[in-house]
Amino acid sequence: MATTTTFRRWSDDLTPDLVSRVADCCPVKDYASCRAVCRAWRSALPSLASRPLAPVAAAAAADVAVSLGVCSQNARRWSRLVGLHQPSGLDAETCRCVGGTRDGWLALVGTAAGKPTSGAVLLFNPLTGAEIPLHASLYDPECERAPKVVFSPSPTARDFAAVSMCRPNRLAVQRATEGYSSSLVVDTEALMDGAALADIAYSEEGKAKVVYCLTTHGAVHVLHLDRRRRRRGRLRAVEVEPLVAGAGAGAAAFSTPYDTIARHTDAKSVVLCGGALYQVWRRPGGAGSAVAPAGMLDQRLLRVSESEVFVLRYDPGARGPRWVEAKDLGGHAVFLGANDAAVRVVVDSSELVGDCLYYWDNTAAPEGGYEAFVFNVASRGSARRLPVAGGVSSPLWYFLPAREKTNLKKPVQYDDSLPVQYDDEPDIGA
Amino acid sequence: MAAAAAEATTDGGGKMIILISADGKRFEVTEAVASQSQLISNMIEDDCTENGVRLPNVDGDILTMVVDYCNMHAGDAAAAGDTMKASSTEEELKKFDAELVQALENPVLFKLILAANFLNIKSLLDMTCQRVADMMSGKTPEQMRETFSIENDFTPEEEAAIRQENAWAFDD
Repeated sequence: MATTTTFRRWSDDLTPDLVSRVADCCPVKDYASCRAVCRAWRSALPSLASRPLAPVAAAAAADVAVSLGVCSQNARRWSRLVGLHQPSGLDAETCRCVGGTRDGWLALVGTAAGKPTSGAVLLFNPLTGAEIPLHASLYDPECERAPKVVFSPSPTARDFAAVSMCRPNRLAVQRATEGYSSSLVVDTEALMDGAALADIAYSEEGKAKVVYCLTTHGAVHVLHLDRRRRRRGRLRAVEVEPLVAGAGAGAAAFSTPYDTIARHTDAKSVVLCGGALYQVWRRPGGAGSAVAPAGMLDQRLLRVSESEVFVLRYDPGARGPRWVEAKDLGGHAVFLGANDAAVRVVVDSSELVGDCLYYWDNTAAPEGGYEAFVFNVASRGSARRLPVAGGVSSPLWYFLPAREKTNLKKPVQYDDSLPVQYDDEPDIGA
Repeated sequence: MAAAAAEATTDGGGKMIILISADGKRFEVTEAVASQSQLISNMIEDDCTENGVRLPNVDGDILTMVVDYCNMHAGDAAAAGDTMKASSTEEELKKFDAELVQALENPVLFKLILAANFLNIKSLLDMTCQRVADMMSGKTPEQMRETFSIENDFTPEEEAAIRQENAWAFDD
């Protein structure tokens, strides 16, 4: 038993929110060290791995391509993490983040370093500096819309799969197996009934590697990456098939009024979460409200408001597959952005709320940045996540890799000794 | 209400208020200077500064620093009222701020943080927190404990687990 100190140590006076305010000023490595100082500090500071980060504008005059920030709840600003590696293959000024996974990897596009006239696309891990250049077909600098690149978790130069939605009607696929790499381009317009692509999501369960492709009509097609066999050193072509066979343009898979809503929600995303497949439809801010008859046989008027969010879950169902309205997300917090859809967090910190979607909108943000919003699926309420000044440069969430705890002899619990309190919890449904 | 309003305007907005520290020291400052503290600014709005503002959480030596800081920075907040008065230049302010926090012993720095938090002076709070963050820069958890006299209350097993969990942050 330690002797009781008769004097009060001054560091005891720091309340959890002050500890967190100080730590939020720290670079990433120091923040992690702060969490290892003592129990009180540890319980005051959420694990970095559980906190969502985002690409933010670099410090003035800093010649960096990748700058990530964590939103500091107390200081109401984005704190930049320093000590990140920078990619060598891209010109820093033109670099954009166009994809990310839960394990710390990003997909970047921009102008090739030292070659102002050609574009480059690569996978990059800012924590380790590992860099995997991708085939030029995955990035089309001519296309106005930023591509979205999804890729396999923990990629290595010898083994990975990456799929880029490089144009609204074109997917570029690159696969590497044991160092053998190949790429191909799929024109999707004919395969997907003339509809443009809205979003893609990568899924890997066991050996089955697929990419779910969502069209602007709300139809989902499945791109199989694993139905390949080596044939004289060549990879067989990938296959695309509709998720719901014979669903035509996709509208048939939705029951009224969702067939109508599908036509009035321009921002669509496909999300894989906890083994379930979801679609998220949103009428972007600034688009105004739409009023339309609810259906072919239902002439009641349906109003789709600006910024309204709809979440549908895929139900393979005994009576035939269909999309049903989702009332929850299985307790997960889901982060929508230019991310691999597998990005999700089982809620383990007071900062994040379960059954909520965190998404970006750039219409209300000042100076063309992005603002984070939270949508509570149960209450159907949407709110700004934080009244934080802009600075987010790409609509992407980034999570530091969480370390496996399974090899520990006994479970370690720290975080219940002191409650963590924030002045400004996300205001859901207000 | 009318009387209070008339009083406030008698000497061109330069009404003085008295701040009283925990150990009874009294500081006379203008409203413009004091209202950099959101706490006091709210009290001024609510008209409850008449008999001086007692600050039971703030010692006299700490309050001296806070008042110095606020006097220096009153220029930013009240520039509109007093354009002729030579307000401190940005460079002077930076130098003053740096000198204020640089020389402080840890316990005093922490007390200043607590005072800035209590009085709700955001710029001072940001600056002092940043100073602590700078002091922790590049330090291991053990070095941080030494710097701030914090007891290590983790078991060796827990420490090993933390190290493993944050392996990427500890690589040298």
